[in-house]
Amino acid sequence: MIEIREVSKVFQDRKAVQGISLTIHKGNIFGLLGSNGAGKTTLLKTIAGIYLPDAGSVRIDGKPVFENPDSKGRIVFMPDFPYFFPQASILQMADFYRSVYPRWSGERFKELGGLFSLDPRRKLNRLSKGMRQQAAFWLALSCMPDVLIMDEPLDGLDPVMRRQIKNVLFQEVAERGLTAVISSHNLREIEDLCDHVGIMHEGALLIDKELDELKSDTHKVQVAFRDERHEAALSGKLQILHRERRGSVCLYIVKGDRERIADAFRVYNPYVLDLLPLTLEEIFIYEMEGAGYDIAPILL
Amino acid sequence: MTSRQFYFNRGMIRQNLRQHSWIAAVYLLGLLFALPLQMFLGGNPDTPPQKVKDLFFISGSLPMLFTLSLPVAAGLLLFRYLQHKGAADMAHSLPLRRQHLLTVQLFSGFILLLVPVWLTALAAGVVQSWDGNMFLYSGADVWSWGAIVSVLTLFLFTLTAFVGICLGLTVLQGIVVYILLILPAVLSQMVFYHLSIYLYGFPYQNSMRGIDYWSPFLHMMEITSKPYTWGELGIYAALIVLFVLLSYLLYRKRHVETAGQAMAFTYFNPLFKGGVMLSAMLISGTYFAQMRPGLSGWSFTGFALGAVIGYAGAEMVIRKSWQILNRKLPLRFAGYAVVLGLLLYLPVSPLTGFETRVPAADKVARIYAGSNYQAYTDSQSAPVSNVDYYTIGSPYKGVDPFSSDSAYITNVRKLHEALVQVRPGDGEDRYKVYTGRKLFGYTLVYELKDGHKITRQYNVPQAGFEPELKAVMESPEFKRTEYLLPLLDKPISNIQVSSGVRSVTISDPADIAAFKELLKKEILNMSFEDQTDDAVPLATIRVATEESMKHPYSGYLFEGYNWKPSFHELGAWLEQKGYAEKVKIKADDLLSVEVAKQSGEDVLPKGVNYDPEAHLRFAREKGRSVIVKDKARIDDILKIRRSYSAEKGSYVALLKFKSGNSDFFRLDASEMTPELKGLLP
Repeated sequence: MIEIREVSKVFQDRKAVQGISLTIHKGNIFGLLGSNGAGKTTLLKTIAGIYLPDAGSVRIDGKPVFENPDSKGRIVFMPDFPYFFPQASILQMADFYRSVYPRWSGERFKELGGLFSLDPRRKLNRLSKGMRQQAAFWLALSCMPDVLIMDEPLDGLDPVMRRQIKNVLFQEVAERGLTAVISSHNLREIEDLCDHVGIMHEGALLIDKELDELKSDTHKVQVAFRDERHEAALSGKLQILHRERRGSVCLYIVKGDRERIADAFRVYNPYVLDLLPLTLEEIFIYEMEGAGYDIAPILL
Repeated sequence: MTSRQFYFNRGMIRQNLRQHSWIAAVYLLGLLFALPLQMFLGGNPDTPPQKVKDLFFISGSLPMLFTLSLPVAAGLLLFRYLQHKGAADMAHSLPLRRQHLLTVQLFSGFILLLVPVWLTALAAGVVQSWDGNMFLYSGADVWSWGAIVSVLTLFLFTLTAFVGICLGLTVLQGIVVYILLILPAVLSQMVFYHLSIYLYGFPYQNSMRGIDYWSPFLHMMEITSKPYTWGELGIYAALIVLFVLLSYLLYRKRHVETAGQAMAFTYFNPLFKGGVMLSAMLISGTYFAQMRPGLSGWSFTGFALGAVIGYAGAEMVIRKSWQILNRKLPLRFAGYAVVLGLLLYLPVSPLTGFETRVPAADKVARIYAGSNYQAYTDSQSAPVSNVDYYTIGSPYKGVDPFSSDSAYITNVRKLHEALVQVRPGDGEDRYKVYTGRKLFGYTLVYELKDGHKITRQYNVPQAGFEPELKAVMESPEFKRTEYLLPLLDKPISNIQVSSGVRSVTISDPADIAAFKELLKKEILNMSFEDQTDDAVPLATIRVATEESMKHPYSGYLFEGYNWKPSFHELGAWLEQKGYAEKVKIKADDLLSVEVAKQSGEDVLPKGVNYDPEAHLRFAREKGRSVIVKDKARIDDILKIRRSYSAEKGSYVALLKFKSGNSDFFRLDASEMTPELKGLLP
């Protein structure tokens, strides 16, 4: 379990992270969303124990991370541009990680070799961005981490490899209880991967939600009322995030139990009543609107 | 993992060696080239192997070229991981503490750098007795070479590492390392120069002695002329320990995100800004003061300019941008300017009492006054290598320059008090002070009873200070140190008396004994006038002591004595023994003498007033110069010639020797024979 309490980080007068508190449970895949410069990378590096927060604390299973080899031996951080020693091959990097990470598994390294179509003897600086990203995954997973922190890890990967890596991550979570933190500026990219999502903007965490809960809890309703007055009567009874009128048809985004919402509408016996599922993207757009933010500059 | 595995992580060390071993290879090749190979390539193949004072003698500062560059390169590369964002994130995400990372990097550097040094020393030891080795040296020489180069290597490496912890840019790190290696010499030179301009009596020359060696860089480049002493090596070793300790301490506080920024610690910023600004102020202030001496407007402009440039430069480096202007900037600058202005002003202000301090007579234990203090204080400490060779290098070595004679102390104090009161030459252009005036460069040194030492340096003009100067200069205590009389008490091998045209060597022990007793007597008898007289000496006297003859490579021949025309008794003895005849310049040695009256100062342009050539040319153009070829008249001229000076109303004489040499002298009308006078216009 990762516990982040009131963490702030300032870079030369600029507040990169401002008082963020967040708990990520074991076995969760947490997606950290936000536009460029929102503070995602800073938060990730603070979780990984690279940055010392100016205020607040980061603990993993109750133990501090910064300058604590016991905790850090269970965490692997994958930066957006993976760093390898100059002139090193994957095998040499593996050799290095084996000497540093106490839980390195040579067996796992061999196993994963089948997944990535990379020659472990090739020099890493000759590989493309995507291939280097694959190499970083290969090495990171071979360290058998309890916590894997990834900064924009799917950038530069082809769709097949994305799929494969997602599958490996699911497998790790299911079999070993891996906790993963993934940042991205693109919701669509990680919506099928995460079970928990946070949105950062200007150093603050705007939303922090369980996806399943969100999905089952928010509904899109298309309705054509018999009488316009019904519309006004309804608004007091439901938690409406968004309302839009297209001719005689009204569009509602409503939070709450599906059956209860349907019943509330049926009372007025509308001409048309449809309850539709929402994409995650839509949910976020409306959630953020509800919180008083325009999502366009923050996400997508 | 055990703590040993943390501190000496095998994977990290292996990676370092894999990545940076080329440094060790280059260092090894460089040192092998610079030492063992030079033992066979250097030296003269036609002479038997030469005994050397230390191994640096073999190839000079050549090995230092590698020692000055490769340890710094190793420091830059091994600590690159702090300055490169990707590498910094990676290294600090590993399950290792900072002390583990630092230990591994330092340890890797030590291995990469020390192995080549030790292998080279080993090679030098192995080839010691090989045929073709042109040099003779002992095992101890090899050990001391190894020790010196090891210590210097580690010093440079740990300094680079420490600077790397403090900064966030590899390029800046390299620049700052070399600046720091030179800065002590440059900055102290600037400070001393500054003090000498604004503090009357500041012992500038004496302070500048050996100042190059304050810079590790300059000292290493001049290692053959001044080998390291054990004391200096001890200081370097202490600095190594200090740099390592400070690195551990500061690294714990260092933020990873400072990679790529100029300064890793913002609390160093004021120090950095102040340091850069102070250096710039000193350089520019003293530059202007030197170019236009005595004009305070120029030097003030210099300080102001230096302050602005220094502050702006430091600010630009810190912000990594040349766009530094903002509203708060002038205020901050003013703050720095005031503090640094005070820092520069206070030491030279009257508040210190430096200029007026003359120690009370009852507090003075011993005293020195004269112009040779520097010679006395040089070559004092023993170097690391074979001691014998360096200890007798100077005739002043082992002579105590101080005197505790109370009458002498009183006389020197009186001179000092007069100087402090009148302050001759204070605030004047020092070049104007020097020209056309009779000056004595005096260093006054008081050893106080409480152990303190007070040193002052003055240019004392003869005019106006005759009584004080006379009292000092006629005292035997002054003559003992000024004319180095103790040297004449040493066993002497031979004495050469030379007039420039011919010379004679006295080697008969009885003659030597008689000569040096007479010389001592004559020197002790010299009056103030004899000492300040500018009559040209009849000959110079060169003394070779027995001890220096034993060491032909590092001995000395002392040429500090003269046969003055006033030394009548010595002259008579030399005549009687027939030596004088063999030495003196005769009219036959000369082709001709050209004589002309010196024109008044106003006739010649300002800059060439003191140029005898110009005076002569001027007279020649006006048809007022005379060429004397008459032997009797030339003899007259030889007797009355004096050192050249541009005194109005005197004559300039150009003596042309048969040997092809020529020389300018001055003749005074008052001393001329009527026959000579009759020849002149």
